[in-house]
Amino acid sequence: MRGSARGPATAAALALCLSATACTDSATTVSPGSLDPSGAAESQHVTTAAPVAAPPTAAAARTDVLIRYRRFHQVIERALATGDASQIPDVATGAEATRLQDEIAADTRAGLVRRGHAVPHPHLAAVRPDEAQIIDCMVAAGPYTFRRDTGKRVGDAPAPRRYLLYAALSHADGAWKVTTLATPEDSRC
Amino acid sequence: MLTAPLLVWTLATGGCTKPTGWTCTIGAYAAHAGSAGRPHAHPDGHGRQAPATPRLPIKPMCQVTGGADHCFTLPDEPARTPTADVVAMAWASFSLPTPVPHTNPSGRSWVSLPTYLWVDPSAWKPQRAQASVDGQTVTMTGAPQRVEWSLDDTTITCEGPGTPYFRGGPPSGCAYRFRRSGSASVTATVFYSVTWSCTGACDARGGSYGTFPASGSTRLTVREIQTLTGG
Repeated sequence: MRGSARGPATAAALALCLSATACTDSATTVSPGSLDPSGAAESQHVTTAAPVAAPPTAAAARTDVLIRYRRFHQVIERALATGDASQIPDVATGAEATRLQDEIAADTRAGLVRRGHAVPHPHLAAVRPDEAQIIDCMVAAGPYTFRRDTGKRVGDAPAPRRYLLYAALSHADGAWKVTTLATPEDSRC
Repeated sequence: MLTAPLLVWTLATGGCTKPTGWTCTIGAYAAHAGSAGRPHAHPDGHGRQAPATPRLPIKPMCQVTGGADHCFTLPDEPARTPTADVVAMAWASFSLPTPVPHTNPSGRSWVSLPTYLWVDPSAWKPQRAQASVDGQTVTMTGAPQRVEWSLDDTTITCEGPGTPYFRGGPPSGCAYRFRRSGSASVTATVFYSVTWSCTGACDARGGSYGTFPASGSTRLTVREIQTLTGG
């Protein structure tokens, strides 16, 4: 899997501001490989898998990861719309947090805000005590860019669509935080 | 790229003892692990053997498995998007035009003189945005309701855009008499009543989204005319 172009990647995370770099890097950490779900008869059974009988701590961790992942999208949505990046360190960490803060600062300098709405449909792919991986078939509208002073929309107005999104989270400072986001080159799901 | 060893999965009975391994909800393993990474026999256009594209049987885990080396999960078929989220998407693209306040006299007015106030009538019309997802289309409409004018430490409300002044024209119901001289900021705030409607496979057919303002300002210098009276 190679990194996607900035356009679709940016739109994916509600413009969750994915960069090509993030996509490329994540390919090594969340690699779905080259699974051919349509080619193998067994793959038809995949959706029937059900997590059962997990240890309570693991179940709690899975729930917590998904809650925090959804929270991440809410925070980013608000930060892009208001230009207030102060809550980003609560939901993202490392280079991903820095990149998001930089993008919002750049928007502020340019007198822009971005609005959109993302509806995650996350599936927890894997979790261990200090890191987790999510596959998300998210529906997202935007980002729509507006001039802060006039409220006038500028640029394209992409129609809502679904995006395949990979996210990695780490357990940092007592909470799950997003460390990387990526979309595959073909971001359909 | 995937190789056979990475795909050998620790299924439920074997992998639960590693405390730091991945906990997977759906796993994959290579049923024919020895062939998973083997090149295919079909040559490419130059007669070389093309590298294999792994074709991996995907097996659902019979239970959540801890301690695996790797996890693979395919995205689920996502649920239909709730109409409330489609409404939020339409709102995200929704834009209210900034009103341009006009006065007459413009630029300079006088104490006690009725100063006409109006916003550009061409912008006094409903604004719309639309979003379509999962067979449902939400149309959001913002209808201008009133203008609040802030000037001279006073706020007055006009029910429409106001009447542009022209000689011999109708009197305006939206005018203000300044009470003191000086430089005044004149701000017009248009309030839009925003509603939405949904067609298609919707959870709900429509409703109110709220009332939202859009503001624009200009400056006005107010002067005073001193009149001498008496004999």
